[in-house]
Formats: sequence, C-alpha cells, structure tokens
Amino acid sequence: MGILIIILKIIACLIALAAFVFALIQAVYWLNIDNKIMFLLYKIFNRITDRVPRDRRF
Amino acid sequence: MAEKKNFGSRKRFYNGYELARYRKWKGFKDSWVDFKEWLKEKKISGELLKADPVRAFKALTYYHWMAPYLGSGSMVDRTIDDAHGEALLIAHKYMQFLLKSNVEALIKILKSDERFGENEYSKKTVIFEQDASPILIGGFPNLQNAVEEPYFHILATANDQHAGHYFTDIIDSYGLPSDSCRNSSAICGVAIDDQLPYYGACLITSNAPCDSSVMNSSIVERRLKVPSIQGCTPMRWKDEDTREYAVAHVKEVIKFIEDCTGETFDWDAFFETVRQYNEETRIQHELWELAKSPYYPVPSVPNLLYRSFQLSFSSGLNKECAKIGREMLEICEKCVREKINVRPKTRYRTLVCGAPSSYYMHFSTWMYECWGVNTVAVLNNMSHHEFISEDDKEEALWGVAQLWEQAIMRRHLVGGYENLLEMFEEYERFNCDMIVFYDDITCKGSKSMTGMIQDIANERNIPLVWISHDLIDPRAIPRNEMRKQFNDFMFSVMNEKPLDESLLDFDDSKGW
Amino acid sequence: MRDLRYRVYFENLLEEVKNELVDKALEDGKLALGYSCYYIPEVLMNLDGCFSVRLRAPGVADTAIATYYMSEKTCMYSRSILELAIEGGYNFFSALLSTETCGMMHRSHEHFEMLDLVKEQNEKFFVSHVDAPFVTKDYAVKHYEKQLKKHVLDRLNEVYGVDVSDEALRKAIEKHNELCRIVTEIGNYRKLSNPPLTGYEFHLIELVSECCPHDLIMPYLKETLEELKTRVADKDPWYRVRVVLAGGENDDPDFTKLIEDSGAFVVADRYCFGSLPGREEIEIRDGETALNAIARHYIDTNECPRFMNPEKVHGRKQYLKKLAEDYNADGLIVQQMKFCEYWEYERMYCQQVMESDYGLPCMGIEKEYINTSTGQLRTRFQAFVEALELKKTERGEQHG
Repeated sequence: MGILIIILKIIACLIALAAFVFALIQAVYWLNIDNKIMFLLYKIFNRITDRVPRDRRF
Repeated sequence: MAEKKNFGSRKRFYNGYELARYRKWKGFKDSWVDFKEWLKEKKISGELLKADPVRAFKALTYYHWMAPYLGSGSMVDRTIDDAHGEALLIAHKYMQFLLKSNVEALIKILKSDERFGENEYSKKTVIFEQDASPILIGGFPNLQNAVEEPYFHILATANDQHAGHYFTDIIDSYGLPSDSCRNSSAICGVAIDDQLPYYGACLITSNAPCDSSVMNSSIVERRLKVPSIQGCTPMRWKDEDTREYAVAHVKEVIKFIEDCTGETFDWDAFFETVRQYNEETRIQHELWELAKSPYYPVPSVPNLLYRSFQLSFSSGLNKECAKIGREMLEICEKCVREKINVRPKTRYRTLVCGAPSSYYMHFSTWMYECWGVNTVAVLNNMSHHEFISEDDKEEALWGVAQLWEQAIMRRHLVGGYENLLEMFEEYERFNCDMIVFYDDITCKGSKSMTGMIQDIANERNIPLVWISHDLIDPRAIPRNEMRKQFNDFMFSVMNEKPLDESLLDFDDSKGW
Repeated sequence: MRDLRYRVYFENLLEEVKNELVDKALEDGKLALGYSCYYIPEVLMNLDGCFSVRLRAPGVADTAIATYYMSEKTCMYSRSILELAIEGGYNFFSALLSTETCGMMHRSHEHFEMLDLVKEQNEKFFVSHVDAPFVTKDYAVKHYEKQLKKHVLDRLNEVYGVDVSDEALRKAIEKHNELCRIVTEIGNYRKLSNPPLTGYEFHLIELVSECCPHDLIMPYLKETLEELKTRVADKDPWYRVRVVLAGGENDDPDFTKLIEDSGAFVVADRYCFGSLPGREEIEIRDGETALNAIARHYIDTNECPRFMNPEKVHGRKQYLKKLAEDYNADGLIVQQMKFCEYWEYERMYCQQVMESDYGLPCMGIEKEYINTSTGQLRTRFQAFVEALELKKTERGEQHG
C-alpha cells in the first residue's frame, strides 16, 4: 500500500513537472520568446561580425 | 514626423519590426497545429548548432551572413501568417522541409570550411553557382554539392532584410554601379570581403540567369581559389541547333569534376537521381492541375520557396523533396475533391511574375491578409518542367542541359520575348483575375519588356500591377513603399477596400 | 595641321543613318543589313548585293516612346535605336541581324518584331537571332559557325536569294580584308609620337567604314590614306598624354573629341564600334572553309566581356596592356554606357587591376549615349591627364 502511494506520488510529481514544462514551452511559444532571444543573439553576433578584421581586397 | 503606431492586427508587433510580441491566435485547432509544428521547427533549427557547435559559433562570429539564420523561426512565422486549416499544415510542412534542407546545407558548408580547420569534406564538395542545378552530383555519390550565392545573401536576406545590402555596399565601394543586378553583385561583395567559405574541390560557374550573372563569376573566381569551369548554356534554348553545343558543355563539366576529384561518373546512380527528379516534376504537374481550382490550399510563399528549392537545390538529390511533395499533393487533392476552402479571404486570384524581393519574401502573405489577393501561380515556378530520360545517356545529358537553360528566371527572360509573354497563357491556365509583376529595378531582362507587357494587359483587360523593388536592398524601396504601390493599385484600379486597414501602412523597416 | 579633306564629309555622313552613300547603294538595288554587335561578323553582311549598316541613332534627342517600351533603367543606346526605329529611321533595312548577347540590345531588336517595325515598308524584312558562345572551346566555335550559317547565311539565301557559297564568302573576305588594310594603315599613324592624325579623325573614319557601304566609302578612305602620307603634323605634338580608350558601345566621335580637348590623345580605340578588334584581316587557313575561318576569327579576336573562360578574362586585360605598349599609351580610359551590365563589371575590374597588375593607370567613366553633362566629363578627363603627366614627370619622361 505504502509503495503504491509512493508510486502515485511520483506519478503525480511527474505529471506536475510535465505540466510545468508544457506551460513553460507554451509561454515561450505564445510570448514569442524564442524569436526574441534569437533577435538579441542576432544583434550581438552582428556587432561582432561588423568588427572582425578581414582580408578585404578585389 | 510622428512615428506610425501599430494598431489592429499589427498591434502584436513591435513598432518598426517584424518581431511579434506574442503569437497570433488562430482558433483552438489551428493554434494547436501551429504549436506542434513549431516544436518540430525548433528541433530542426537546433540541429545546426548540434551538428558542430564549435564551427557554428566560429561561423556566427566571422560570417556576416550567418547570424540572419537565427531569424529563420521568425521568417517561417511571417510566411505562414495567412494560412489556416489544411493550408496551415501544408505551409508548415513545406517550410519544415526547407528549413531542414537549409540546415543540412549550412552544416555541409560549416563542416567543409577549411577556414575553421582541415576536414575531409572540403575536397569532396563541388560548388555550383546559383541557378545551375546540381543534378549531375547524382552521378558522383561520393561527392556533395554546395550551391553558391543563395545562402550568402538571398536566403540570408529572406531572414533579415538588412543582410544583403551589407555586401552590395562593399562591391559598390569598388566601383560597381548600383543599377547592376543586386543578386549577382552581392556575391561579389561576399567574395571581396573574404566571407566565402574556404572549401570546394571545384566550382561550376554559370551564365544563368542573366548578363550580370555572367560577369560576377570572374570576380568570385579571383577569391575562391579552386579550379573552375564555365557551365554555360545557350541563350537561344528553343533553337534545336543549340542542342549539340549545350550537351558538349554538360559533358565537359562532368569530365572536369572527374579530373578535379578523381571520381568517376556513375550512370546508374545518376539515373536514380533523374528518376527522383522526374518524380518531383510529376508531382509538380499534378499540383499545377489542382491550382486551377478555387479550393487549391497552398499558400503562395511556401509554394514559391519549395519549387525554387526543388529546381535549384534538389533536382532529385534530396529524396525528401518528392516525399513532401506527395504528402502535400494528398492534402491538396482532398481539399479540391471535398471543396474545402482554406483560403476564404480570397477575392482575387493572382499570377505573380518576376523576381520577388528577398527582403520582402512574404509580400504575397500580406497581399492576402490585407486585400484578399491570393497568389495561386508563380511564373518563376514554371521554369524547367520537362521529364529527363531515365535510361538514354545522350538524352539524359540533353535533359540536364535543358534544366540549366530553363532555370529559374532564365527560362522566361532569355531565348526570345515570347517566353516572357507566356505569362498571359499562365494567367488563363490558372483562372487568374490579375497579375502582379515584381519589378526588380535592376533586372534588365524584364524591364526592357515593360511596355509590351502593359500593352497586352491593357488589350486583354487584365489588371496588372507593377511592384518595384530593389531585390535585396530595402533602403531604396522599403517594404512599406512596396505595400503603398499595391495599395494605390487596389484603391484606384480595382476600386477595392482593404480587408484589414491596420495592414495598409505600417513601419517594419528596422528589423527582420 | 591642315584639315582632312573629307572630315566634314564624313561628319555629314554620320549625321544620318540613311546617308547619301546608303541611298546610292539602295538605288543600286543592294540590301541594307543592320546589326549592332561584333558577334555578327561584318564580312557576312557584305556579300555580293548586300551592305552592312552598324546601328547608330544620330539625332535622337528624346527616347520617350522607347522608354515606355523598355523603361528608363535600360541602356540608352538600345532605347535610342528603338526610338529611331519607331520613327521609321531604319525602314530601308532588308534585315536586322541580331545576337542574344547583350540583353538590352537584344530586346531592342526584338521590338522590331513585336511592333512590326519596317515590315510595313518591306514585308520580306526579317530579324534573325544568333546564339553566341560564352567560351572559346572548339565545340563553341563549331556551334557559332552553325548559328551563323543558319541564322545569317541561310536566311539571306532563303529570303533574298543572296549567294552564300564558299566562293562568295571568300570574295567577301577579300574585299573586307582590303578595307581592313586601309583602315589599319590609317590607324597605325596613331603610333607615331607626332602623328598626322587625331583620335577624333580616326573615330570618324572607322565609323564611316562601319556605317556606309564599303564599296562606296572605299575611294574616300583610300584618298584619306594617301592624304595622310603627306599631311604635315604640327611642329610639336598637340597632346599632353596618350591614352587607350576602351569600353562598350561608343559611336559618338564627339566623346573622343572631348577627351582630346582635355589634352589626351586617343591612340587606340578598343571599344564596341572601334577598330581594335574589327579591322584585323581574316586569314583562311589550309583545310578551312571561308565560314570556318570567319567563325574562328570572330571568336579569337572578340574582346567582349561576355566571354567567361579565364583565357579571355585575363586575355582582355593583357590585350589592353599590349595596345598601350604598341601605341605608346600612358594610360587607359574605360568607358561604359550607363546600365550596361557587361561593361560596368569590366570597367570596375579594369579600374581595380590594370594599374596594380599591369602597370597601366586606368580611369573609369560611366556615360550616356547622348552626353549632356560634358562639363563634368571634361573635368574628370583633365584630372586624369594631369595625373598621367605627373606620373610621366616622376619617371623623367617628356611629352610626346
């Protein structure tokens, strides 16, 4: 009986965790966080590549 | 001047950007589909960093054309914004396929790039200049192909409207006038700025699609430092007497690749690729049949990109291309058979001609959302669509030559004026109500026919709108200017009211 | 220097496409064959009963109608040709022999078909399109020969009964070579340090040889050659520096005059409508037919930037260097028509490499078909002349 309860508690935790992760992913999706992060990274990398010394010649 | 504030359906976007604050609610079913497909797209994009994180990071910190690919998620969102129901699923599937292919191509480039260290792939890479189909690589199973140009500026600009003009500014500073085709000149800027990867066993240059493309090869060759050969094809491709010459070029390219790589052309493997290509072509023909129907569900931008990819990048090499095509065909057949209308905003069916601007690839999406103008046919998509012989060597080589001759943009712009005027036949074939002509201000092939085209359109009472753009430089003719041209036409010629006023005039000039 | 006897006459001939010599040839029942491009061998259009007229559009000041058809963002030469054609300026043509080489020029020719130009006056009028190769391999030359036969010779024979036999071609080559010898001999005077000929005068001579019936212009050219043998140059050379003029389409002698008024003697004319190439004799080798020789000759000598193979890409620059050496030029001016795709790349390329790789100072110019801002051009030329003079002074050289 005790083991059953433990198993059920573990399952409940896993479900809660899954729900939490799902909610997090949903938040990322709905708030467009992935693209916002990408945009910031893009800006950062653009700044870096603007300043990289290169062998510019014809 | 007060900054234009977004309202209505633009409210979810940051002012001046195509970056959304939050995603669009498309109803329970569509939003769920959108979410699932978005997860797949994230997984695909992640492969790029997973494949070789060190090289990916080095590329991101060296190549100016690499960072725009971080915007591919946003690009997908923009191109499918007008899709619902089956159209949404189709759009996602097409874009996932393209995303996957792009990621695979970029991984190939990164792994082959000797700038970041020696590797086993570089000398197994045959580089094809844009518009030259890489179908011949099918006969060299131990080699891989790389397509030059699109990844360094066209597709980069599709992701980030400001990616391309970085390179055109460079070549302009060396004295090239800015009236030259921006597409061809941008790759020169990439070459001059030492932003071409160091890779390749050899380079196959091309004289397609235009005069500008002929000239940029010699500048790229100066910096690429790999042996190169001119994979030229006749201009007068309809002339039967050019066949021998065209096939001679193809044979020479095969021999050249053999000499540079030590590989031998494998006809069995090549015919297998040809069979794949023919399958892709067969599917395309069936899709065109379905496109005549008012229930054709494919949104325009994925349609355009998929076909461009199929001709210029796959040509039978990528087995998934036909697989996706078959899946899409099934969905399209279902929609047409059961009369499922997933493009309900459609008020006009349009044929789109000319080169779309890379910095506003999703212009068709906007046309649909704002005005209900549904792009059902794209003239560029009607490039080479013949079947290639699957068993006769000479005929197969002739098929390859034709594939090069009738490449995207080339088929309609060279070989005789009647090729471009086929647009009026396509207009009838696809039961269109109007024609949108993307008027690249640097494209001499189409610009030198503007009067004739307008005359014929007037004669036949076909509403025709010219949308001027500068191909990859949004500073000359920004996106809002392109929209304004279309708005003016819809108001004054078509006497229409917009479906969504908030989309008429807004600022998206700053970012993606 | 005493004025050339026929200078004014040549200038007058060039003021009209249908000049008095063209009129005379037409009265004699000859066929006027129009062309723009070096890829159409001039010799093929001068078979018996025919004469070549290289397309120019003198006097066309406004291209409103042509601009409607071809837009304002295309080469003005192409538009000017179309404008004159619409005005009826080429209604005397029996055929227009075109090549799909330069996109805009070709479209301009296609408009002759689309708009049914000339057809009203001559229902036999045709436009023929040749496919020209991009490389110089043997199979490319063979292809070119086939195209010339199919789209030039066979058409002339089918429509007008022109004799296009090997014998007829050999005869045409002989006559063509004679013209070339005379013009080349005239042109060679430019190699002298104090020549009895200016670049402008040679430009007139070369142009009339391209735009007038050969048989009728020959006597004048021969006389001019004789005149030059005894023409006394001024005591001191009039120029400050010597330049090779290269580039795309240039049928405007006033452009050459503008350069020379700025102090630069145009010693070599390496542009479309120039003599280099254009006035080399055609040699028929053993075992060759006349058409073999013509195809080979026009591929070998062709300096069009359209050729993509490295031999031609580098060869063009080497050729310019060689011309500079042969004609003792101090510098190079590369001009291009605005919107010309081929020559804007080639001009840029030359500007980048001619001095660094070949030691030849180079200036690039973008111009219009009808040049209105001559003041600006003059300033640019003068600055280049001064720069070249400075270089010469640094090298311890003297003028002339």
